[in-house]
Amino acid sequence: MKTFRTLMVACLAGGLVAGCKNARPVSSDTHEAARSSLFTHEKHGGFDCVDCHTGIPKAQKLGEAKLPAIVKCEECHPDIANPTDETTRKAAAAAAALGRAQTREYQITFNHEDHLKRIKTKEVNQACAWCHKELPEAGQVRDVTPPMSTCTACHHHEEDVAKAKCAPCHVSLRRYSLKPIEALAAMSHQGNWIREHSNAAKNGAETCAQCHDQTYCANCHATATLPFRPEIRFPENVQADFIHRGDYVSRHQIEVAADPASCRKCHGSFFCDSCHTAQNVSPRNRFSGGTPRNPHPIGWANDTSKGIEFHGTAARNNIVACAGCHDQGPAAICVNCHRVPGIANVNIHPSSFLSKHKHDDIRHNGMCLACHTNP
Amino acid sequence: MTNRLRLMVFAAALALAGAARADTVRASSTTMLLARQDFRDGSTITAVPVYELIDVNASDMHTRYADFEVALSTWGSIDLADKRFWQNGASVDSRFTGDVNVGFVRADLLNHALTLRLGRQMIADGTSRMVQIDGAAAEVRLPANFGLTGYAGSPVAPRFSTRGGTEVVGNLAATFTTGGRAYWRYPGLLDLGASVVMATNGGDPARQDVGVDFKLTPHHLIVLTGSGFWSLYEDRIGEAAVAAQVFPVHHLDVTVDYRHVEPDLFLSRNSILAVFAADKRNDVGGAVHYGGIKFVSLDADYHYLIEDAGHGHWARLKGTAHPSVSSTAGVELSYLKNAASVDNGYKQARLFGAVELYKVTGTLDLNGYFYDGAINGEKKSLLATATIAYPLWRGWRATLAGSAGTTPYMESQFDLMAKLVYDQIYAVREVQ
Repeated sequence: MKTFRTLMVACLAGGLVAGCKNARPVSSDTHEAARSSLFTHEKHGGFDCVDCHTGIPKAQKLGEAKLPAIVKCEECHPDIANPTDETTRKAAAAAAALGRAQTREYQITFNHEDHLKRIKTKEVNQACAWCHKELPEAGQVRDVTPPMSTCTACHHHEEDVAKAKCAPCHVSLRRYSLKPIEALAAMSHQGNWIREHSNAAKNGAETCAQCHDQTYCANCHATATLPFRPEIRFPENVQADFIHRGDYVSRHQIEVAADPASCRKCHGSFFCDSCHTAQNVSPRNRFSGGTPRNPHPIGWANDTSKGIEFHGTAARNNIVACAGCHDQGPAAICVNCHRVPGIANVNIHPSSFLSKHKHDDIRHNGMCLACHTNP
Repeated sequence: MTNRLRLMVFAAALALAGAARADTVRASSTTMLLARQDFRDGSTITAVPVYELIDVNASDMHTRYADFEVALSTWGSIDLADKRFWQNGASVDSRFTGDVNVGFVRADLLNHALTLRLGRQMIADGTSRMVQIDGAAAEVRLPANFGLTGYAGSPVAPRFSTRGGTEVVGNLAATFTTGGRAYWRYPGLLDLGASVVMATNGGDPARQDVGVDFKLTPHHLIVLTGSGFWSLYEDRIGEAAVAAQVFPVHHLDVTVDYRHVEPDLFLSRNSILAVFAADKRNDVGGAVHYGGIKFVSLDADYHYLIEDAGHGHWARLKGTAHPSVSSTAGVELSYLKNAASVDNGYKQARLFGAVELYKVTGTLDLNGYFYDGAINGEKKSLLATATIAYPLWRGWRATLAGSAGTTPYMESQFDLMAKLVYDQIYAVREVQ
């Protein structure tokens, strides 16, 4: 026990010390976010981009070439350091703001030098405009970062996308709250994504994992261990298409009738039965001395003329709904009557079952012995 | 039990230690106080649980021989009131409880040709149906774009209770499961997979299924997907689904899909109820998403439900507007008519909105359901939920939520929630 404690404390301490030494929080203010500017690019249209952005032609990494400093402005506006009129004061403020610009997180690795060499244009400004369609303007919030479609216009990444190989262009996608990419159908989350995302995950779990780790999936899919549904945890996500939003308890019986298989994709029988027992409508109460209320209509047990309100017809139509209260193995209420021989002396198996399973199969599935007591 | 607890704590310690050396670490802590009214056999109870939920994921941990990822998602709770909060189906006697959702170590070896994952994890591949297991999974990437995945383990039981049997809360009633998927892909055009799942519950068969799945991308704006499984135990198809997603013009996304499903095959093969029915259901329909109007996106969805008892309809319309960067308003209408009249149906109307003012974000959600037939003598359910959130400092955020309404089971219902969230991603080095 002492060794275990020592080992545990050592692991924690070592981890935390190493973490504190190196880790830095990733800013949520990413380079790709829409932004405003104090600088008017339009008014400076007579210049080449590289007249001010002098470091860009040699920049091999994003952030390597800093934004122009005030000394660059002073080359044309010598009085900017000591402004005397309103226009110069605004220009001075803009120049000073450049120096105070916040550090932004870059989500991609990009080599300006390499790309500028490969773009064949007569003017350098045309080369820049090849990717930079929008430029920051004073007083306007603009999404100025070239979108991914700019990259894929030249670089065909079908194979990389198929293999979910986002590096080395992207840094780890898990660092940022990225939006799904509309330009790539394979990575779009649009339409009825709640319904369709299972198809995407069946053959693309590796792609999902580029952005989402399993702790994210577990928020909804760890149905065996979660304490409550995600709607309770995230009521502020009003835009999300949660399945069980609002008063789901009242309408759950309507939803399970519409699509019982969808319920079973996440929930086992006892998930339902546990609540039904608390509401005293499950026969499981009998075993703990309670007397359950019967939620079924009159004639449910033996009036075959009642159609879907006769238990046999209802079971054939939606057996998953029955499992919400009666999936208790040999203790299930069905066994009381359908035991062989029993008071309901009819063969209850559907034709597909009888064509597949021979009488001998009883020995291979212990549950058969609940009814077939004399195999 | 003590040994198991020790192992859990040790795993958590290892996860934290590993996290510190990772290049990207996401750490999240959520502390929640709930005061919720619940309906129990004709009377109303109030439960007041406090939850602490922890998620840690450390990825991009590069070493000479392998790249590692460590993930842990766990929680604990205490019920402050005498009445227990309903724990998602789990049997809980004590006012203290907790569980582990995910806790695994993943290693990418041989230049990512081999991936191993060990611990509590979710399996999404093929026809595995997102099963949560304690076990191991592996993926081998072979030459010529072939690959193999495989897993084996025991489906998770809540609160470390007995596995299998008749008290299964998760989606697979089994004590042991194994499966795998073989795939081939033509990059950018086709993903093709064949999978198998076997599961036993105390020695009896629980699942014996084989599945296929594909994704065909003939153009970067067209995706065709399909999947299905065949029950080897019953010799019939359990589910088949195909969908076509097309982007005909910019900002427009159209999906058309068809699904055939035999719901009884989603029960364990050793369930007493697995021998009574073989019902078939089909649904066909589609969805449209349009984001071409300035500040507005529209979603429409319709499915025609076909079953032996008749035909039904499910439809939804949703419009979301973003009048400014910091505000959202939306309306949602939906309609469900089941095939069998005894199965009831509803019409839904919902208004929602969110606005941020001086860093304070408020949301409002007004949700009304109007039922075709009475539920517990009532034909409507009205619920209003409001939240207010404020960012505190360095990744911390506080949220208050309250909801009130009237439902078929509660004439008047009031719930409250206070939440303190820490969510931060740390970078140790620039990932190359």
